[in-house]
Parts: sequence; C-alpha cells; structure tokens
Amino acid sequence: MGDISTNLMQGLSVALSYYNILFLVIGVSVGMVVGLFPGFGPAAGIAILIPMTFGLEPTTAIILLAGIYYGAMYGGTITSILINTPGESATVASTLDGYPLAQNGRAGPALVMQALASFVGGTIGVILICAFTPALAKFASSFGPSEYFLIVMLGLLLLTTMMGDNLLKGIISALIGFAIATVGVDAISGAQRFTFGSPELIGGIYFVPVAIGLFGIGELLHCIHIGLHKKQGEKLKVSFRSKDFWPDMKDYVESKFTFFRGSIIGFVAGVLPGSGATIGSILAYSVEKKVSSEPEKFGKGEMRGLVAPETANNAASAGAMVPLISLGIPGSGATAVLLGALMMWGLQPGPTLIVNQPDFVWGLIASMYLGNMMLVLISILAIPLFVKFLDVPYRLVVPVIVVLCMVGTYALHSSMIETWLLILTGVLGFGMKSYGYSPAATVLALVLGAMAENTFLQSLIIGDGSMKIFIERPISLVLTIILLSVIFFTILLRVKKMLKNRKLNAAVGASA
Amino acid sequence: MQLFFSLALLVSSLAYTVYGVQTLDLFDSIGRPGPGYFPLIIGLMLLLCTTINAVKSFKERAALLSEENTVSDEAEERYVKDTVVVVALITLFLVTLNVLGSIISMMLFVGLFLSYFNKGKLKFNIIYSLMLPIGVYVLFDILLRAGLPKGILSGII
Repeated sequence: MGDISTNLMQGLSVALSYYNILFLVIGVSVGMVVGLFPGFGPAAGIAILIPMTFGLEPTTAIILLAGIYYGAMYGGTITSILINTPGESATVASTLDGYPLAQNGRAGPALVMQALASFVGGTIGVILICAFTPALAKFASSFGPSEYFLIVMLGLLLLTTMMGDNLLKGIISALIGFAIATVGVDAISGAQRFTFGSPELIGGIYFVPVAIGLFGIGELLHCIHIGLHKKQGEKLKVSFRSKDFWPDMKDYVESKFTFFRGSIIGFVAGVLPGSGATIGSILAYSVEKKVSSEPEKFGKGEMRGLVAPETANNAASAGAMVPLISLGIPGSGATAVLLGALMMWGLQPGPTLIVNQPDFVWGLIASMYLGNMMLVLISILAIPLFVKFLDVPYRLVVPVIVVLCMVGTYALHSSMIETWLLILTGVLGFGMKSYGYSPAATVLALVLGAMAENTFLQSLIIGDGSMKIFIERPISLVLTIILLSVIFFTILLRVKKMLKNRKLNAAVGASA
Repeated sequence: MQLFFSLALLVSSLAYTVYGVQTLDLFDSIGRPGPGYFPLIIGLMLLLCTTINAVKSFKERAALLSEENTVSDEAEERYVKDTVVVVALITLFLVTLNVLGSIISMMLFVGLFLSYFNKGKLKFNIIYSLMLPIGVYVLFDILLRAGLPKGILSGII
C-alpha cells in the first residue's frame, strides 16, 4: 500500500503541472465528444488526433491521448442512455438498462450514476494498475523471445476468438496486419521486402495512416453506407437544475456493492489481452443479474444494470494499461494505437519502461486518476452541454472528420504515399466493418508485427530451428498450454454448436 | 458485395505470397530463416483462410440466390451511391491537395460535400466551407507548424 501511494505521489508531481492539466482537460473533453458519435470510438479519436500532438512533450502528449481514451468511455454511455445508440461496443451493455431508465423518466439519475460508476471503476482501476504494473513488469523482465512471441499470439488469438461466429474473419484481419507489417527492411537480414523500389516504403508502413484509415475513414464510410447522414440531430433537453436530475438514496444504497464487483470484473477483463472493456462490461452485467435477488427487474430500468457495465468498462480501460505498460503488448485497438504513439516518441513499452522512465509511467497513471476526477465533474455539470452535440446532424460532422484525417495524415511526414494509403485502408476498413472483420485485430497485428516476427525468428535461432523452445522453458510451456487450450475449447464449442444446430434442423425437418 | 470483398482478399493474399516467394530468400547463407521466412508463413495462412472465407461467401450467396432473396433495397442502393460519392470526393481532395494547396482543396471538398449532402442551405454551406478549412489550416500550419502544401497560394500565404 505504501508503494502504491509513493508511486501515485511521484506521478502526481509530474501530472500536476499547469501544462499537463490543460492538456488533460482538453483530452477528456475531446474524448467525451468523440464517445458521443456512434461508430467513432476511442481508437479512431486517438488515431486522428495523434498528428496534433506533435510539438508536445511525450508525457503531455500521452496524457492528452489517454484522456481521449477514457473520456470516450464516459461519452459513449450518454448516447446509450438517451437514444439507445452506444457510442462504441464497450457501452452496448449500458443500453440494456440505461435506455429503459431514460424512458421511465430517469435519464438524469441514470446519467449521474453512470458518471459516478465510471469514476469509481476508473479510480479502482488506477489503484490496481499501481499495484500490478510493477509486479508484472518485474515478472516479465525474465521473459525471453519465445515468451514474448507466445504472449503476442495469445493476445491476438483471444481478440479473434472473442469475435464469436466471425473467428475466421478475425484471423484474416490479424494476418492482414502482419502482412502490412512485413513491408520495409527486414530487421535481421537488412533486405528490402515489398517496397517495389519506393524509397518511402523502405522504413515500412507507418501505423498511424493505417489506423486513421481503418478506424476513421472506414467507420465514416460505414456510417454513410447505413444512412447515418440521413438522420436529423436528436433534440434532447437535460438540465441539472431540474429536481428529477439527481439520483435518490435508494439508487446509491442498492448499487453500493455493484460499484466494486463491476470494477474488479472489468479490471481483470481489461488486463487479459484481447478481452477488454466490451467483454468486461457484458460479464459484469451478467454477474450482477445473477447475484441479484430481483433479476426480473434487469432490462426494465434497473440502476444496478447500468452501474455494473459502467464501472466495468472504465476499470477495463485502466486494466488494459497494465499489459501495455509492463509488457508492451496492447489488448485492444485503442491501446494498440496508444502503443504506436508511445513508440513514435521513442518510448519502448515493456518491463524496462517503468525502470527507465518512472516519471513518464507514474505521470501517465496519475493523470488517469486526475482525469477521472475531472470527468466525473465534467460529466455531471456539462451533461446538458454535451447533449447539445447530439443536435448536430452527422452529415455536418463528416467534413470535419475527413479534413482532420487527411490533413493529419499528410502532416505526419508530408508524404503523399501515406495519404494515398489512408484512402486505401479507409476503403479496406469500410469493407471490414461492413462484412464482420476486425479492424482492431489488423491494427494490433500491425503494431506488434515486427515484435512477433523478431521474437519468432530469435526463438528459432536460439532453439537451432526447433520449435521445442516454446515448451522447454516453464513460462513458455504454461503459455503454450494456455494457447492450445484456447484453440481446443474454441473448436470444441464450435463443433458442439454445429451438432446442436444439425439436431435442431433435423427435428424441424422431421416435424415438417 | 461480400463475395467481391472476399475474392479481393483472396487475390491480394495470392499476390502477396507469390511476390514474396519470388523476391525474398527463405533462408540465409548459413541456413537460418531469411527475410522471406515469416512472410511465407503469413502468406500461406492468409491463402488458406481467405480461400475458406471465399468459399463460404460463395455458398452464402448461392443460398441467398436460391431463396430469391436478392431483391435490392432502394434505400440501400441510395446509400451505396452516397458512399461512392464520399470516396470520390476524398480522392478528389487528395489529388488536388498538392496542386491547389491545402486551403483550397479543403474548401473544395467541404463545399462539394455540403452541396450534395446538405442541399438548400447555400448560405450556411458557404460559411462552413470557408470557416472549417481556415480553422484547420490555422491549427495545423500556424500553431503546429505542420507545413501543409500551399499550392497556387504559395506566393500569398
């Protein structure tokens, strides 16, 4: 406990500068707005705004981007509650009881409770980061190439298996990311690969244009395709001066344990690579419904049904920072973009980061704590203002997104090839989004591609070309067993489902 | 459309694998994995997965056709057209970026976009087409010193 407070204090001394606080406020506010627009999640927000962080100190820039990351989690819930449209997948579970609460005339209490739940989830998450990150970093310092390769594979496997019926498309998405990552100079031999003689491709394909294309332009084209631009803005009025705006004592008392259960579940889900906020929030909702003595109330406007996923998705955002900082392995699309940003500033996340750059690591974590405090105030006091953003029709938002994506990408290296790449990956992202592929898996694989290849080849060289190296060391063996178990159980579940469907079809055929 | 997307992925995977095999060495001079080793593994896995995926898409399409369930939805067709218009406008934006300069190409893009998607609001569209590009230019070129292309305005700004 002493270590946690010492580390937090060290971080606060870094984060509590006027400059960092200013960018923290900008980050969380922009994040809230980003979260409000459907299909425009934190990954897109961070990717598009990376070019604007040029000229900032790395710590300030990451504080700004991390602010967007968890600010989007707060903002995404506002639309879930008010118009039954989650800003992103992590807030889908919040619609289950959030929207019915609003329909029952309790939009105000729902918005305030979601802000408090997000605050509690985020704060518990930050405390747990302080406790787990140094321990995991210390443990990971004994990892060799084989362990790193297996962790990367496990993260990607979990991310793709979470896609349910679209497992094959998830794997294809990840392989596309790996394929893009092979462009450029081979780190071991120095040979050029897939550069087609272009000097601009020798350094490889930079992840930012790809991330902006897949998440920004791709999402935007998908939203146009489904007709979001035809919708008029939502005219909603929420005022915190109204008596009905505030939750009553019953809401707080009933949810007191939910805050903690949701936070712990969310944090654990966030730490596991590939799992993240979406799974965490759904899991927290299911657990809350199971332990409740009145499960029938869930789905009809039960406050605990909103508090559980909200605490979980914010704790998961914090949890996802643990593998990112201590292993250098992101668990989601948004943290993959954050990892890329860290690398852009010459920081190499991994076990040594916490030792070599303690000010940066603890400053970032402390800024998350401060950001959560700001967000709870902003979310409650400025809810009426943020709701006004929903008045803006999507067709007026599109030019802003396109211009920021294009100019932002060009501004990276004044490269026309990268800007063309933006359009290509935008069209690819549109197809992926429309047909059930995973742009997040592509970006994750692209960011981790070089690490995966290098650790794989190093493992083979160390093991004299033998795959035995992946089972010889105890940690590698455990990771290999987990990896194989995930594959085995995924196949088993699929076969079971297929047999069940066949039986059902046969029964239907017989009765017909 | 899904079938075409699946086929495009299959063809791209094939091109990636064949080009990799033809241009990269699998092993180096002392028999260790060379620059083509990892891309070959990725390429073969991509080929396998995209082939299965294309077959699945083909079967799904065949099932849909047999159910005579392919009556096109007018609204969806309209949105396909809108999507194509946006892609075309973004491409035009990119083509004119260096020639006309960032400010004019942004104004052209926003103006054309709004004249198509926000019809009947001429005054608002003109103000929006002027203010947004100027705001973005000030942010990137003046505040962040990103060095955006000046194009035909190079002697003026």
